[in-house]
Amino acid sequence: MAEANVNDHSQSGGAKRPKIRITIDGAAFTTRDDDQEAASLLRLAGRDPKLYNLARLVPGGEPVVIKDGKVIDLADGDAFVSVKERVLLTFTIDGVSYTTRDDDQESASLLRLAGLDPAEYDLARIVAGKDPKVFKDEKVLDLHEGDIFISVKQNSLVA
Amino acid sequence: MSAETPASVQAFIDDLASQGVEAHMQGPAVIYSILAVSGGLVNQEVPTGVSVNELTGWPAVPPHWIHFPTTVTFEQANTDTTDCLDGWQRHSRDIGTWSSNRPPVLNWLAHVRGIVAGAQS
Repeated sequence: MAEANVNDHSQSGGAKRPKIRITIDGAAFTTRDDDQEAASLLRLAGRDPKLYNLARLVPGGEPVVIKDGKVIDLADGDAFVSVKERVLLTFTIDGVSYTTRDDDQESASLLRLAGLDPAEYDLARIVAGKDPKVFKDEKVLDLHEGDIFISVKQNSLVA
Repeated sequence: MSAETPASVQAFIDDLASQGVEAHMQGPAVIYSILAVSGGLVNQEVPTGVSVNELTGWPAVPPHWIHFPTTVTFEQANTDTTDCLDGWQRHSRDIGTWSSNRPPVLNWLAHVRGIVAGAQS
C-alpha cells in the first residue's frame, strides 16, 4: 500500500511530534499534525469536501460521519472512509415536482410517491430525443436532476 | 371561453392545457394529441379526442369513449362512429374506478396513455 507523508510541519520549537499513521479509504498516510480538519483529510485523499464527507471507522459500529470543519484529534491507527454526499435531486411525475437525495429508487416507489398504486399504473420516463421508456415496478431507476416521468394506466380494457 | 363552448367542455380543455396539452372543440368532439410511451406508435403524438356530449359531468364523471382516427388500430376493439369526425371512430374503454386522489386530468391522461400504448403500428 502506498504511503504518503503529509503535513510534516510541526517541528517548530522543541521535540518532534511523533508520526501518526492513518488510513483513508484504505490508503495509508503519515502525519505529525495530530489535529486536522475533516475537510483537510478529504483533500489529502483526493476527495472534494463539497462532494464527500469523512467518516471515522469504529470497530464493531457504523462509520461516524464528521463535518468538514470539525477538527479531529488524530491518533495512530485511525481509519477513515470518504462517503459520497447525496445531492438533492428534483424531478417531476405528471408535472408535479418532487425532491430526493435517494438517487436510485424502484419504479414502484416513485409511483407510490405520486400517490399511485403500482398495481394499476406504470411509470414512464421522457427524455428529449429518445423513445420514452416504461419501467416495470421492480426496476431500480437511476434518478437525474430534472428527470421527467409520467404515469400510464394499465388495463383500460375494451368494454 | 367562447359562447358556443359549454363550461364543462371548456373546463376539460383548460385542464388539458394545464398539463401542456393543447385541445380544441371541433364539431361534436374535443380533439388533442398524446405521446405514445410504448407500443407500435411509440414516441409519436397520437391524435385522440372525446365526445362533447360525454363531457357534461367533467371532471366528476370522465368520458367513456375515446376517439381515434381509423388509422389508429388495436388488437381488440369495440367501436362506432357516433359523434366522430370524418375518418375517426370511437373506442369503448373501461376506465375503472374514477379516482379524485389527484387532479382528474392527470388520471385522464394516464388512462389515455395506457390505451395508446396498445396501438398497433
